[in-house]
Amino acid sequence: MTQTIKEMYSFLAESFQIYSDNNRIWILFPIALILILFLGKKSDRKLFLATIAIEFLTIFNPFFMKFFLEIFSFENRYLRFFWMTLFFITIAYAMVLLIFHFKRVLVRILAGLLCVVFILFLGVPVFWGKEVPPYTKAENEYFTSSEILELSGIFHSEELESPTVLYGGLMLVYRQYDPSVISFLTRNVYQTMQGLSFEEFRDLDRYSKRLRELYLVYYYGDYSIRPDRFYRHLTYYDIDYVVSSSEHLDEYLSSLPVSLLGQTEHYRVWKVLPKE
Amino acid sequence: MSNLLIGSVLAAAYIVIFWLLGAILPDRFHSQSIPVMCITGFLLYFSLFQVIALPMKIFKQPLSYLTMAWFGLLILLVFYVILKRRRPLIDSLKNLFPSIPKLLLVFWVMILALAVALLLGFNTNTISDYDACYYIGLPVSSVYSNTLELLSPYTGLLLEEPQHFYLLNTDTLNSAVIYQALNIHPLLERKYSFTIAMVLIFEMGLYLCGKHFFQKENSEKDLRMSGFQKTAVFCLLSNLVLLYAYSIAGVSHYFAYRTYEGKAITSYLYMTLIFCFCLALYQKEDTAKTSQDDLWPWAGLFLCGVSGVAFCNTALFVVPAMMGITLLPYIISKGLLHKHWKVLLRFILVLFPCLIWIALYKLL
Repeated sequence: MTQTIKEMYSFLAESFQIYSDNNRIWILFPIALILILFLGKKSDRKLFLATIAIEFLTIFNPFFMKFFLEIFSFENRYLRFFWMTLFFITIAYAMVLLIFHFKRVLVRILAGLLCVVFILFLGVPVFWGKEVPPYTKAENEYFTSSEILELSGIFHSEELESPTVLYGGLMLVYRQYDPSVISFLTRNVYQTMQGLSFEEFRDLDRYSKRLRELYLVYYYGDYSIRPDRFYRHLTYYDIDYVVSSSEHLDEYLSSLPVSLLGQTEHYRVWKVLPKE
Repeated sequence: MSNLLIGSVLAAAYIVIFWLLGAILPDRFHSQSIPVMCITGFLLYFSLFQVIALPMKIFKQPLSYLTMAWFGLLILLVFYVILKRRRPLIDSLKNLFPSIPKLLLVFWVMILALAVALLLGFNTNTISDYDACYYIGLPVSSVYSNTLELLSPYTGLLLEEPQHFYLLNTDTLNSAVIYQALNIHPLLERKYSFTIAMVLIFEMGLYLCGKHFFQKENSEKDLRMSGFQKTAVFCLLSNLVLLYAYSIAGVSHYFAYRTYEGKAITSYLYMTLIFCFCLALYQKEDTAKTSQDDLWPWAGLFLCGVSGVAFCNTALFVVPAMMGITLLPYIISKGLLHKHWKVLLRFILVLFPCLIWIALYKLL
């Protein structure tokens, strides 16, 4: 029992660490609760403080956590309980209480500026923070990259109905725009390959040898597999087009019965010619 | 017409439709305030959509049937509002501009809301291509195949059944219906129009929180003025804190990068709205004795329970947990200690849809 509580406690601490990612803005959260305790109205104290107390007695209570996790079978989604701590509302509310606690306008302005400085100094901004995914402004009014639009033109240049295409990460992006192509690569295989080294995938018996060889060439760049074998696999699976983003793959493919259908800045689309 | 203009018109149309739907409910359920009506209308929109779309999805009906049913219903409801519910619409417009200070506050909040909405609406870095492919690829594939999510968004191959894990979620079908009926691609609809609409609804939620924290309706002029100032500062600081709290698993990340995704909407919007409804109840605790005029927060909570699961499965446990925990002190003090059993009954009633969804999730 003690062991379980200890485990649950460290699980809770780890979860919070992952959730907050050590963003220092969270320092303001307990300070805000203390401010609300002293400056807030009775109903606000009940809303903020009683609620947080109940959260610590229930969903954030190491005694009960195991029970919640088992009931909802959402172990990997436990972090989402932290959504319930509306820190931005709590902090903002406490700051307003503090700012308007002062009577003189000048002092209020200074207090407000200090609050803003605290937020800017402690927090990590979205888009422009250090090690934060950048802001990517839409490059056209289709809200996808121009290269996807170009690729669509190439895939449909021969007016094939639902051509089968072998491409990698494009699978996740291209079909958001155009559902009329069939991706030979599936999400499961793609995710598996992303998580496995060349050797691990080569020895994986979950997929047929033919399929593994196809991906060993295409995804892992194992060009020791004979080109004619690779071509046989392409025609076996009725793949119409192969998209390449690597010069080595282009070189490998150029020795096969394929022809370059079109190209964009980063991709070449190779048409797989039928067997003679 | 350029895509951007179409997308902007659609974002505005979303808000107008939410406002109109908000007017359908009896007056005591929306308090004739535009933000409350828009929020209630948004929740009603997705509650109704969930009720109509889910059975059709389970019974594998064609998408065109859902599109006809949904647009048919929407047209009927809009006609009903225009013919029979003009008064609350007009009153809500009047309530928006009762005085110059309030007008300035509304103007400030609108500028702030639009700035955040446009900032997020033009961002295309949604971090997870897997999730983007699901939330956008799925409606695109549904329209292409005229099915209710029976075409894999990743491969383009037909599925025998909709993906079991996502069976209860229907918000992606809303995009499919819009695409099929209006020919507005989900890339534009989701990433731009819907993102803007969701941010605006979120900002309305923040505004309402500020209003309930600081604005006393019957207070003196100076106090009212101070209440407006406090609300304005509160809205600004809330946004600032949220946009400066980046962490990969946090609400800020969902809000800024994945604004249109179901789980993001649950995280930043539903949590805020539930808090806002609870706050309204707490504020009324000392003044109203379970009178009829405090029904709109209860209506909002009920609709949160009905519509939450339309967006993501996490809502199955987060929505009732948020409602239950945030309301518990209120229920104890007002319901149990003061023996207002109606409050207890309402509490059970708002949690009831969540229990139904959990039972369905386990059964299906």
